[in-house]
Amino acid sequence: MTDYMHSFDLFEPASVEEAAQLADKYGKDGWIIAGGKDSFDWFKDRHKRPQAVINIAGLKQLHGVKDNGDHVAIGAVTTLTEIEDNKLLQKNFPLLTAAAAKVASPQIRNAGTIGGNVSQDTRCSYYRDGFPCYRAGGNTCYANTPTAMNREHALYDAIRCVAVTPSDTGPALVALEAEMIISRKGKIRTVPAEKFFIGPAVDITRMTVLEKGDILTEIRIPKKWSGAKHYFEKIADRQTWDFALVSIAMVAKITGGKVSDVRVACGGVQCTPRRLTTVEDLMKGENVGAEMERLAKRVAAQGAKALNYNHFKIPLMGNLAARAVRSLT
Amino acid sequence: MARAIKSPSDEVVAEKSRYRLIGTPFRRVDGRAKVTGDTRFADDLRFPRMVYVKLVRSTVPHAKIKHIDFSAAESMTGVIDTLVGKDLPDPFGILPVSEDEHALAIDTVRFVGDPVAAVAALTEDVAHAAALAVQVEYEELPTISSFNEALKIPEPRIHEYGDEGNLHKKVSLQFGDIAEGFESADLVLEDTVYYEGNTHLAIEQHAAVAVPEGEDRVTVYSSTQTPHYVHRALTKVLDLEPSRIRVVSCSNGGGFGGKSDPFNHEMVVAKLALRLGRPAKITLSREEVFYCHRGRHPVLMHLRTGFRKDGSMTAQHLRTALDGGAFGSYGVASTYYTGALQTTTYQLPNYWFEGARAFTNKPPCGPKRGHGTPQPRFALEIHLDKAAKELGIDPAELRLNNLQPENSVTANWLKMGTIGLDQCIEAVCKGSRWKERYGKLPEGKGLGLACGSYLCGAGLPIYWNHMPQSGVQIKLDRSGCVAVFCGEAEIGQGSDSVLAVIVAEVLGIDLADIRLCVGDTDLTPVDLGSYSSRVTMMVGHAALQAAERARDTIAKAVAEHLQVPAEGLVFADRRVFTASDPEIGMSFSEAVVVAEALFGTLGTTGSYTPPRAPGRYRGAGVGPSPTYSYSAAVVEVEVDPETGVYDVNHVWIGHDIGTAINPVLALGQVEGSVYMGLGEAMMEEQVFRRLPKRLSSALVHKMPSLLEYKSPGFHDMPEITTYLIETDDERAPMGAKEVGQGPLLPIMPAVANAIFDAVGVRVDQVPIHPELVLKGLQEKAKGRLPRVGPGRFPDVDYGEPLVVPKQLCAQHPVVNWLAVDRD
Ligand SMILES: Cc1cc2nc3c(=O)[nH]c(=O)nc-3n(C[C@H](O)[C@H](O)[C@H](O)COP(=O)(O)OP(=O)(O)OC[C@H]3O[C@@H](n4cnc5c(N)ncnc54)[C@H](O)[C@@H]3O)c2cc1C
Repeated sequence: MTDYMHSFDLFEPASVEEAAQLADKYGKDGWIIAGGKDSFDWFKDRHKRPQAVINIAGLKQLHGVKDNGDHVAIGAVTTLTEIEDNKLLQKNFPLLTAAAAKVASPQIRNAGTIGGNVSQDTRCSYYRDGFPCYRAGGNTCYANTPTAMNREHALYDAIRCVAVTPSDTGPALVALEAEMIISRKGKIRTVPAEKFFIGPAVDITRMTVLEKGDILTEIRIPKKWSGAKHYFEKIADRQTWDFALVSIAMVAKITGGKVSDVRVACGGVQCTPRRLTTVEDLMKGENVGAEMERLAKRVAAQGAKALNYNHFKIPLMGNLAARAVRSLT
Repeated sequence: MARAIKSPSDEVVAEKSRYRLIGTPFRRVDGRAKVTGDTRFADDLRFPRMVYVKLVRSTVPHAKIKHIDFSAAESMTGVIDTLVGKDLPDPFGILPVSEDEHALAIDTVRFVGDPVAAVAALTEDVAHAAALAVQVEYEELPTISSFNEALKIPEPRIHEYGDEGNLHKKVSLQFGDIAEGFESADLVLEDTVYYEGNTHLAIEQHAAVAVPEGEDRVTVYSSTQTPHYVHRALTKVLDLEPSRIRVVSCSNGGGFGGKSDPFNHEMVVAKLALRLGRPAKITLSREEVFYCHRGRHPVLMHLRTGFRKDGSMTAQHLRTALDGGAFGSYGVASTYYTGALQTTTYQLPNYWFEGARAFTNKPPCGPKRGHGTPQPRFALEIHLDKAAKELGIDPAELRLNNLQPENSVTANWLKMGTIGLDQCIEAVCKGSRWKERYGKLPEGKGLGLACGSYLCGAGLPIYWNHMPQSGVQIKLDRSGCVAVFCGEAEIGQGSDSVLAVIVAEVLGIDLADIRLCVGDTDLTPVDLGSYSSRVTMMVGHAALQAAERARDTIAKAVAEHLQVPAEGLVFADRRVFTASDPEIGMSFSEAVVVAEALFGTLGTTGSYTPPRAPGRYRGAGVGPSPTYSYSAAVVEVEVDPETGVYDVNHVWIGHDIGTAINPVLALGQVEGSVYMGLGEAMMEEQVFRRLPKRLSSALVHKMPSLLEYKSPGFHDMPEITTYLIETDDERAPMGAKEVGQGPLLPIMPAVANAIFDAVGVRVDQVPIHPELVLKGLQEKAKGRLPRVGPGRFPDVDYGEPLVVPKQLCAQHPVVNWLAVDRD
């Protein structure tokens, strides 16, 4: 009985301020869209029916990539295709362009924005299908019952909810130590990417710190990691138009054959992009090589708790970590 | 001759064809309209005063309907009418033995998505909102989710009929001497194999528009593969004379078997159009198409085969367990098909087939491309790969050494035609450099071989009758235009083009001289529809006959006019002329004028009924065909041992097509089959979620959407090299066999076999998700059996086997097989 949108009022604000006013005015009944690629699914399935839809895609202020000296600033409504093709980003942060290029399909990347990509909701098929689970305000996690199908679900931090982050750019931004600029009624705050994403323990109904009325305006990536070595890989069922089962994003600096600094994060294993700090720790100051690869493989998935059908993600994480290390040689 | 085609631009015609048009690539007759958007699909139709209809579908898997409350829906502005089960009380179903469906559920719903009520409104928006507002109160019943559950829980029954409890159909057929066969074996192999269910995924969603006319008369335009069967079902359900109902099959945007049943929505719009006296239209959403389903049955199989040292088979015992979903659909036939075509490729003297189909509370399964055959074919071909390994014989060799001979009769009494399987195997082995590369590629890379065989039209119609299975009428007049009428349904496979080109070939005219009128039960003679790969064979024969009759009539008139012998006349280049002197003759349209003047108004008919099959046992009706197509494929894979992710790099596929009527169209069918086959091998699965009991036990789709139902994209497609093998079968029109379904069959087992060659892991199930390969690799690393697949086969009581006497001259050509007595 779905595949059909409800009717709503569509607003096309002319400025961020106006968008913020509208978002504030409508509160829970309002919904921001940029590319709409995540939102329209919700609307068509009729599981979310906001009264006011506020389209920010046309806001020039929020669009484009700029070199600001010590960092590169990406406007929130910059499309994934624009990011993929951007020379400045390709030169400084090929990790991000590689991740953006792996999102969905060219059509979706042409419309989907970076802001929407990091703010998108989880893809747990029970939740998306409208089941009244914890995340939807109910009192069960349907994906974690004895009969549940949970091959796509979480290995970590599954507190009443086993959903995972679906974003491909998320782990890359966490690895790159990006900062998220959020505006609320004219007030600006800055949140590190790692804190931007939140797990069920913090708030089970949200995936990010964004609350109704917040607008993500910009993503800043410090030049710290410009020119570093990088590795991105995404494992999915098909090679296009599909979410990651597990993805890995790494940036590393090598001096004299030794790893001087490194950050690694995985997507698809937890509600937020998961930093692999144990892998980072064992790499730092050590020689790149077979031994490091072996150790990374062993510790990458430390502490993972498999559900009924996602055991395979554990060796997969280990092997991806080993591959990331291998790429440095 | 094997000709390798990689793309339509390749030189596809190696030697000069025997025909003027046939055998040379030509633009499909509906091609231009399709690419320019001129084709009107059912959903493109609009009529004045039309109302829009939506179905209210069950939200629970199994329940009694207690109460339906329309008050909220009816109070909406624009809502015009509602319909419930008792408005259409007569049951229907594609097979006469399982007429178990109602247009709208009478008192019981049997799966999530089962239609309960309908609403008609002035706009689609209102109809949608009203359908959502209908409140249905259910009293829930226990839910059956699988074959095993159906076996264990005979009560309550999902249907009041069927062989026992919740088992819909049981079959046990013994051919030859099973015990003796196994005794004479040097090696006995057993395998338990699982094939997950999947769906057709045609791009066009089903749509139907009903237009009332005068009193008690209605036309239903529908995206259906089988207008004739829809006509029959409507007659029954609407309780109207057949002559009052007209069904028009609009061009289908793909069918693959998903539009070959009569459907609820067709009955509902017809009823509403009649009741309201205004046109009524319905277009299903993608979600609803997943509920209509009729797709591939999930089948668990157990295979036990005796082999001699040389690789020949001495006996085979195959058991199948089909999860049928909530209704009969084609299920009885599907059950037989999980055993019927097991004998058509390699010699199998003694064969015991047992099959059973269960009812479960899921959308009904039915025919999907290959109908019931891909599952046991997958089992057989991976089984043979293991036997080859065990016996130390090359898998290609093992197959080539044991091919079923041409013109023979199989253990289950199927009569073979030409068999080009040897050429198919040789072509793909040569193309893939099998001999040099199989078993010798570096770890991680592998080649796999598998074969298949399929019907060229089911021998028997769906309902018993003595009438032709296909009819064609030709009308000719002084304009020179030749109008061809036939009940066939174009579903994208190119049936219109085949029909047109055969007539054009015989009459020596161009495709542009032909006007087609197809798939219209009022205007065209009956053809049973686009299923079982029957159209080229049956419509082709009927068209050939009608065209030859037209040619002979015209020849007679021209001969008299020119005072030359009719036998010496040639029809070519839009002219009719004498073979001895092409100058003596006239244009085709002049020839028609001469004939019309001599004989009066011109028209001819042609029809086709397949030959009787030699089998005389109960169940012998499933499997016979005028002849069979053959395919072989080699698949090359590259497996990443760290992730289990594998890429299919190249597929070489050979297909015995008899004669390629249009090589480019045939190539499209082969490539489409490879694509669909890879989807089934690698990722496609129609799976269901069962919720815990305290949460109603609801059994629902894992998101009925195109995103969640994973089907490959462009990036997943490998390079394909196709070889069309022409064996020119005299049983077929112009020698042409089918190409729509057969080429799918070898793909899934070839992928599994290639993975084994690459990393030594056996995955005895499809789809083969990367994590299964990874699991196999982990087992292998631990020194355990590197096999991933289903465990035990359940204990099914298939009943006393029907012992079918052995064919006296089995394995040998039967000279006059038509003369075998019928009891
Ligand atoms: C078929 C399909 C396949 C996909 N595959 C992938 C994939 O492989 N990898 C992947 O990462 N993603 C995938 N996606 C998700 C898609 O990439 C993202 O949904 C897309 O990038 C979102 O961007 P958008 O601008 O269209 O989001 P929208 O739908 O416009 O927004 C998404 C959410 O973010 C909020 N939002 C958007 N912008 C802002 C802002 N500036 N401030 C505050 N809130 C905001 C919206 O309110 C909404 O809740 C897929 C989606 C589809 C439909």
